[in-house]
Order: sequence, then structure tokens, then C-alpha cells
Amino acid sequence: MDPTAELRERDDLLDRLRPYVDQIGLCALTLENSARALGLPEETLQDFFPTKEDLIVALIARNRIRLRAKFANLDLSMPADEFRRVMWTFYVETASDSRLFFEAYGLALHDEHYGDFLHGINDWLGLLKDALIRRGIPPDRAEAFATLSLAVYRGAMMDYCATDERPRVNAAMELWFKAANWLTER
Amino acid sequence: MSRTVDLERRAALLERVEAYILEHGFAGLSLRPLADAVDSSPRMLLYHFGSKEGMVTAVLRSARERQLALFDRLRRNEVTTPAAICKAAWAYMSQPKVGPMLKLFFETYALALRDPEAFPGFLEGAVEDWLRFLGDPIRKGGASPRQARAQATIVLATYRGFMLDFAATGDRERIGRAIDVWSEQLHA
Repeated sequence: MDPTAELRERDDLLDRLRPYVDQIGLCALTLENSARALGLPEETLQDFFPTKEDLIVALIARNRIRLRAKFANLDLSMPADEFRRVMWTFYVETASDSRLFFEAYGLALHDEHYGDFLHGINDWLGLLKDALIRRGIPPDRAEAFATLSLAVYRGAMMDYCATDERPRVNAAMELWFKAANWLTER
Repeated sequence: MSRTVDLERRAALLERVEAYILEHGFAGLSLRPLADAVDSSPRMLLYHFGSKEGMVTAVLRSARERQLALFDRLRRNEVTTPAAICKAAWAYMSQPKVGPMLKLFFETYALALRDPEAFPGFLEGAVEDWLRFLGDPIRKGGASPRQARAQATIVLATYRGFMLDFAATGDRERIGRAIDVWSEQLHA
């Protein structure tokens, strides 16, 4: 098979597996149950992903690429306050990705197979920091503010994923939008 | 065996089980290796805790009780504003010796999101207990219950997000600077 077609097939398997992953969680995933969910012999899946860990790493990477692409489509020139609201909507709409993220994170903290994931965790920090610098925030402050912003969105998603209490978490985010305006405008 | 002796043994065993879980996490927990590690036997573990689930419940209950005791201590020391609570919490949580606990917390959180029943009381302790602790003083300060909960929610979210970042990156300085920026606003 030519390499491009093979990669496409690999990505396609990952995408087709995703609903099953959302149903049972990363931690419960095995090559056996994944192959069954895809209706494939385990050996076929193994051609692409020799071990369960390879499969999980690939799922996490695939998710990251998908989110980055989605993020790249956002128009970053909108007013800052609007951008923060769009970011929050983005997080809420991709809540199943946040669950996957928290799970990958939990795995990575205890299992060195997934260590790369922890190194990549702050990709988003760079993106956000650059966006802030483009808006005229000094680099030092931009890094601190990006760190703070990410903390808010991730922490709020941890709450939302656990409790499903959207009105309360949304009301809390309104307080963040206000605070962020105050912090960047002074 | 007298009941007191029994309870003492259970408490001692629980302490060792907690230490083991702190190191290994809850994922893939099985009785045999655990029993070996704590110089006990699966039979004794089952005698004291009834089942593996009973043991997990006991470990989680004891962690939640410790957290509530910590809240009481902070209240007694009048550490009650969000800024003061977060400052105290960051000072405590950023110590190297607390690292394993922080990791276990996030690992358990992820597992509990998938299967809350397997981790009884964990998410309530992680969210609701904190919201009450953070929100009560805000409400006493004159905010409506809804406002107080919203404020407690954003403080908890931010603090938790910082901890998640810290557990992954260990970047104390960057996170410390971000906490300083955040405090400007908390004090405002």
C-alpha cells in the first residue's frame, strides 16, 4: 500500500473508533475490544497499532490535530471579549475532547508510555500567548495571562464534565470575562 | 478479636493501602499485588473492607474527610477570602512532597468522570465540598447564593486549572507569575 493511503486508512480507523472511545473511555480500551468495535480482526488493527499504548497515543495525537485545525479556523481578529466567549463555546462544544484530554492526562501522569502528551500540554499556551502579543500585551504579561486563561478554561471544563451544571459554570465564566477585561485593559 | 483491636488493625491497614494507591493509582488496581505490598493477604483485605469496591470507598472517604478537616483548619485560622485560600493552597500544593497526591487526584478525576459510581463521593468532594467552602464566606459577605456559587466556581476552576498545569509541567515560576496576575484581580 502506498504510504499516503496507509496513513489515510490509519486516520480513518481512529475516527471510526472515536465514538466507542467516548463510550468506554481511554483507560478501558484494549486492542481486542477496539477491533471488535470496528468489526475487524485484531491482527488487522495490530498492523496499524502494534500495542494498546500505540493506539492510545495515536488517538490522542489525532484528537490534538483535529482540535488545532478547528482552532485555526477561528477568526482571531475579533474583539478580545468576544474571542474569550468564542473560546468558551469552543470548549463546551468539544466537551468530549476535554474528557479525552483529562483521561489522557491521568494516564500520562502515571505511565511513561504517554509522557510526550505532558510535554505537548502547553502547545496551547504558545498559541494563546502569541495571540495576546499580537493584541499588544507585553510578552511577560502575555505568558502569565495565557497561563491564567488556560487554567480557567480547563478548570471550568473539569467542573462542567463532572457536574453538567451549565448555568452555574456559565455564570462563573461571565465573571471571568469581566475579570479578563479588567486585567487586560488597565 | 475485640472490636477495638479490629478497628485499629483496619485503620493501620487502610493507611498502608492509601500509601500503595498514592504510588500506583486506582487504574488496574488488583488485590493480590496490593496485599503483597502491604504485607497482608487478599483474605484479610476482604475481611476488613468487604470487597475491592469497599476498600476503594474507604480510601476515598478518608481522603474526603482529610480535605474537610483541612477546610475546618483554614476556617479556624480565618483563611476565608478566595485570595487567601488560593495563596495558602498554592503554597501547600506546590511542595514537592505533595506531587504524588496531586497526580493521584487528577488520575482519579478522569476515571471518575467515566465511571462515577466506581468512585463514590469523589466528584462531590472535588467540586461540591470546595464550592461550599469557598462560597459560604462570599455569601456571608452579602452575595446572593447564586452569585456566591458562581464566584466560588470560577475561583475553584482557576485554581484547579493551575494545579493541572503544575502537575504536568512542574513550571512553578510561570504558574506563580500567573497566580500573581490572577490575585491582582481577586484583590480588586
